[in-house]
Amino acid sequence: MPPSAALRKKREEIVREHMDSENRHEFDATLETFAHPRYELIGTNEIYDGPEEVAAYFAQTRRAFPDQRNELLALHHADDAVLVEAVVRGTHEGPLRNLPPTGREFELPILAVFLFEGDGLVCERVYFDQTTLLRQLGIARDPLSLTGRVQTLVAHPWTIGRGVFRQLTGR
Amino acid sequence: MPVTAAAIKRREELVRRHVEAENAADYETALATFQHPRYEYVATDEVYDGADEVMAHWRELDRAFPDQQIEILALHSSDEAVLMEALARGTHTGPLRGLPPTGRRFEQRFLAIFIFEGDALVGERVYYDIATLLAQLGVCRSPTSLTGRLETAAAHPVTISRGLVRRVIGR
Repeated sequence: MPPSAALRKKREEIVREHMDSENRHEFDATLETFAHPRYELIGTNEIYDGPEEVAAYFAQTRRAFPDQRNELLALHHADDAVLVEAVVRGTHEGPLRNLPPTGREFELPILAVFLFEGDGLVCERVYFDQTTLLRQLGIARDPLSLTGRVQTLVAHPWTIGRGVFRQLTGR
Repeated sequence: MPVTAAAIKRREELVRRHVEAENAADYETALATFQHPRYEYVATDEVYDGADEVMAHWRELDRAFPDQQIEILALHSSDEAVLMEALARGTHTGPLRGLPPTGRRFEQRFLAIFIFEGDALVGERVYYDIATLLAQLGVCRSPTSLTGRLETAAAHPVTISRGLVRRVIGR
């Protein structure tokens, strides 16, 4: 059933406060926008479930990108979700997993599915392209560029060699 | 302006017909679901606009992954769009932009925004992760794996060593 105007308004307020509090770096407030804190990152196949895992995830991204901020581009109200198209920007000034700080800036388009049960936010599921991020940090190449093609060939000679053989022999 | 339940039903049926036609490699039928054929890929910044470009795009995909199938996981309808969470599967048995057929299978979640004007489909905007695809084709390593980190360090020595210096000197 489509959400009523009042429910839409309430959900939109929660989503906007969620994103604004991230920009203010008030992650305790961000955590409180969830009825149940949970992140699902589709590109990297990661799930952070519950307040402790989600708080640790916030701490990790803040350490890597202390100035990270988001800009909302479009917001779609569906029956059980609010879907947001946004751009995330930041500078890589701290360690990210094992990657030392590159000092590079990035700009990453994302799509976030904010899943609701009634007016309670129970999950944020994020679709994004890792390659777009890693390329801007200077640690991945466009696979279609000349240097990208050379790297693919050098790093994966067996896969490419078999592919060339398959193409030549027609199977 | 909120759309009626009947209009949402018509749009969702159109989206299902569109996906079924793609799965059947019936691209004339898929094309006819558009009032204006258009694809936008957020990850690669690619746009295919008009019947000729969209058809050429489908042919390219069909050549690389002839068995590709899309499974709809969820449809979220808003006032201006139907947002589809889906799973694509296929086998890389034909050339893909200079990459010879690796023979590998892939399975990838993605999100597509079907943009509507009234009952008319006027565009599809796709969010997906290139790294997920290329890793399964065997031509990209996870940046957090040991071999991925070795490849990163070997392919981007200047970026990585600058990062290490920055970390050691604390800036």
